[in-house]
Amino acid sequence: MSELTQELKEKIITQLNLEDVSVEDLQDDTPLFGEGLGLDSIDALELIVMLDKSYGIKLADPKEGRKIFETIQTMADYIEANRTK
Amino acid sequence: MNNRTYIKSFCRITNEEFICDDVVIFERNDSETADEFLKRIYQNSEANYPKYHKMDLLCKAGFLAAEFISKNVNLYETETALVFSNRSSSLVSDEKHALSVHTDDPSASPAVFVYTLPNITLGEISIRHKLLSENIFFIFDKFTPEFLVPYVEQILSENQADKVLAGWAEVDSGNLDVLLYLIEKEGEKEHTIENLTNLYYRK
Repeated sequence: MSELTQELKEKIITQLNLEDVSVEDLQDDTPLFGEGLGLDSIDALELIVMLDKSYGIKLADPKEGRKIFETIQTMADYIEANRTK
Repeated sequence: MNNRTYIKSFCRITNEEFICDDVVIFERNDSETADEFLKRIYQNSEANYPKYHKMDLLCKAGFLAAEFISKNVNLYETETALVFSNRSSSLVSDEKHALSVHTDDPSASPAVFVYTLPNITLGEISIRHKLLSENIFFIFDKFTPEFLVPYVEQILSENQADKVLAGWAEVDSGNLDVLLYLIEKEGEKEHTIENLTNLYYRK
């Protein structure tokens, strides 16, 4: 699991162009939106695309994203349970 | 009635230099890409605005020009209209988006797609400086002060805004050609076609 959280941190930093953030800055329980990492709605769409492309997970209901994208840990948990690649 | 308007501050970005009010602030290194050149300017701007890194090249160039002009003339929460123009619209992002969806494994990136309009630049600047004023982005073959000067004058004479941030922001395949300037009703350097042409061509 820690490999997956590490991979997610690297992917999020790269794909969302978080140039001022390093992997070390991101804790597994850092909130991704709001006062945590401060991601926005476009970032949320980018994360949905990332789930599809990298892990073969299609989110049928975007509202699901609220819980899935709460933290790196919640993302990793969801990916572990639902990944098809 | 005095309808004269004045250039209070300007910023010129070319492939070689970043100039504000006649002072060359940054010179581009031979090894730098356009994006790297702008990134160095951003890092020296004290903007501390992480969203900068997500912008496309056109937005970055417009954002930085406005950022440096705002160091000389306050833009924050003012009635500042935005009147921009360029030749290639958002072509760089349009091409990037088109390439990503016309492949064997098409996948549109929201972070790219969102920049496939030139007036997103105006939105980014408006968000940064909390501007709720009018804005428009024209497409011309070339920098056209003959159109822009009377257009800006009319906005100010009709009191539709207190200031106008106007000009040319062209980014084409990594080439930088930007001249943004702030116009007000008072000042010293008159807002004329000739003066703007001189600023553009660095005469």
